[in-house]
Amino acid sequence: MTAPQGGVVPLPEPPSAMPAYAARSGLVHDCCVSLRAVCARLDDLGTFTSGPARLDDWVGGSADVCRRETRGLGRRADAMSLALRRVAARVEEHAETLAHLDVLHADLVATSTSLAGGIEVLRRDVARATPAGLPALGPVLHARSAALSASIADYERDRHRWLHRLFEEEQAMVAAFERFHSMRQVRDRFDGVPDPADGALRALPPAGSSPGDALAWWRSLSPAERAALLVAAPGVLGNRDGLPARVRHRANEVRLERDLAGLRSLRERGDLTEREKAVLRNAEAAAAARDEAEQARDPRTGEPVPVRLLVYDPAAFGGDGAVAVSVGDPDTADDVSVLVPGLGTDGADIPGLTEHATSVYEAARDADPGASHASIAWIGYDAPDNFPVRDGLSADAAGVVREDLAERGGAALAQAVDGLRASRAGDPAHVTVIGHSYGSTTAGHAAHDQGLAADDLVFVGSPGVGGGVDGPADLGMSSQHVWAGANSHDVVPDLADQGSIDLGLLGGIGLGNDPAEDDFGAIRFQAESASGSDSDAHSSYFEDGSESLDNLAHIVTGQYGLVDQAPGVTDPWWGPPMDPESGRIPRPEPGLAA
Amino acid sequence: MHTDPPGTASPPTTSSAPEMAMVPTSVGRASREWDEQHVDLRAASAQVAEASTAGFTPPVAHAATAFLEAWHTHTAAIALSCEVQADAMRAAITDWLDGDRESAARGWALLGFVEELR
Repeated sequence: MTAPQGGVVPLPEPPSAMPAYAARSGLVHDCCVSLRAVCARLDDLGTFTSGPARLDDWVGGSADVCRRETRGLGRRADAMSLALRRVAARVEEHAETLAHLDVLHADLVATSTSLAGGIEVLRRDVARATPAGLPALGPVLHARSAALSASIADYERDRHRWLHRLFEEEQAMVAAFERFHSMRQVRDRFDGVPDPADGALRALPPAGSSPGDALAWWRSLSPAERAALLVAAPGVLGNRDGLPARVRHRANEVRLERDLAGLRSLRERGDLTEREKAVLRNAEAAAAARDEAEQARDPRTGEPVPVRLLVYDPAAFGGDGAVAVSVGDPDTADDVSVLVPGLGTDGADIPGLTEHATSVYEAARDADPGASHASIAWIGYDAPDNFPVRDGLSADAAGVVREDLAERGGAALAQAVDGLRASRAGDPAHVTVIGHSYGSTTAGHAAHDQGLAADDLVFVGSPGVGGGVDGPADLGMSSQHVWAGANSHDVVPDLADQGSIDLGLLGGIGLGNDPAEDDFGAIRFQAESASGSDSDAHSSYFEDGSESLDNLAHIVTGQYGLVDQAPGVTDPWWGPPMDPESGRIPRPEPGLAA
Repeated sequence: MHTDPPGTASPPTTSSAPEMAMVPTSVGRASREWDEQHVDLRAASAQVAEASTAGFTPPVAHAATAFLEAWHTHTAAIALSCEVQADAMRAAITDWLDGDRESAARGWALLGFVEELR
């Protein structure tokens, strides 16, 4: 301690400065994902050598040589993958430790700054004290000095611990890199070692089994088996309904990075097939959606929002692709919403749908700051490319045929929601499914045909909710939990079958009843858009600041009393449907109102 | 079990030497798949080389860089081995075509497998 000039109260030595902290855990995590993607490639080679490359129908000297080489390469690939997995797992652990150290570093910097400020305040107070006043003030100032000294000692101890922990972590990471640097090291440790993923895959429940079975299987695996599967079979984990979202995300990230590296390499060589071009387009869209969503900040906390790549199958549906991105963590969120898109949607459209999911997420957080939320942009079914065109006025067969896609999509949607439910057994979320456009037909089929396990079902811009559905009861839901949003300028709802004598636009296209019609029995909510433009109306339901988004936010957070209801479309027998909402001036956007 | 397309399913093997039996379409398809493995692993090798070490602290970044350089080499080597394997199979098909006049008549169907596409 140093005594102030002429004073008797000792001032503590200033705290040691914290060193600059250069680590960026996010980039270290990216490095881990790259390594795992390479592991996945090596595993592909291992699988190939033990399967199609064996060529059991080839006999002779050349065949023997070839098979010997094949076995050798397979063994080499397996050993390399096991070694690289080990390093990648250590890199992941390193990233997590660095992130934790980053938080501690920020705390220590703040503490150091605060303590230095405390010393300066004490110095000024001591300097201000007159000799006459010191006897009275002295004990107080001494006590403050002692308290500061104790805090600085605590800080120095914590600082030392932090430095020591960083040093130890760096040593461990360096050792892990050096342990499997050469191929000799790899062979010595892993040559002939069985892959823990093999046994785990043998116990995998067959396709078509329930999400609960998938979860039970996952929970039965050892940590080593789980880690192995992440790289050996990312496609199995990433799209398996029932597994926790975090697991699916990690697996899909590996697969995505593997695809991007491989296909971009081919593109640079001008060597992409048409199918590969489609797959790459979907992969790049998935990466863009994920990256964009990761830029989002929670409107209440300002913290980054967790993002999960829940589905990634860029070659699904003949190259249209299947992708789902969750804004928010569906493993833990109080409220989960699932956005189901409509016509013309394929995997490459995931960035736009993820923007909508982000809007719903932000609106839900604003509507109920006390609850956590996750909003899923779900392109998990093969949406039709366009509206069916009626063959004259008499035939609506095209519409019926097109409904097949909604039926299949409904089954996939119901399975996806079952998966969310299974992974949250004992801690159920409030789940809302929002079907937009043809997605509402799909959601209708999920509820009618499959018993969709949603708490609330919302149709927006619906061209019909599927054949055989006359009201909420046919969806297996209470009328208090089935909602319809229909902008009066949106022409798509006019395509639904309306009334007993359908005199709506084109007489309906055969996708079922209009849920916004008064006799359907759903709760219609206000969804007019500020622009009032017919061309934009169908795509305005998720617009920031819109009354539609505002109402959706209240539904997905279960604040039903705050939803602004609208009168349903009426369909008098003497004429075409009439929409009471037509001509109503929408509520101004909150920003404009202010 | 191989699945030859119609017309090429009967195995055009050499009759006199069973130990030399070959289903060239199977071998041809396998050579293509080895080419795919080569392409994929070459991309993986580039991915290792391009993996960022920017997030590590300086003491670790050095080791990380050395590790990635080494693994770039390891993966490039195994990629190359895959290509060698593919080439060996194409050579085997060529030998088979050259050595079996009867089958050579059908060789036009196999020419695609003799060429390296990727």
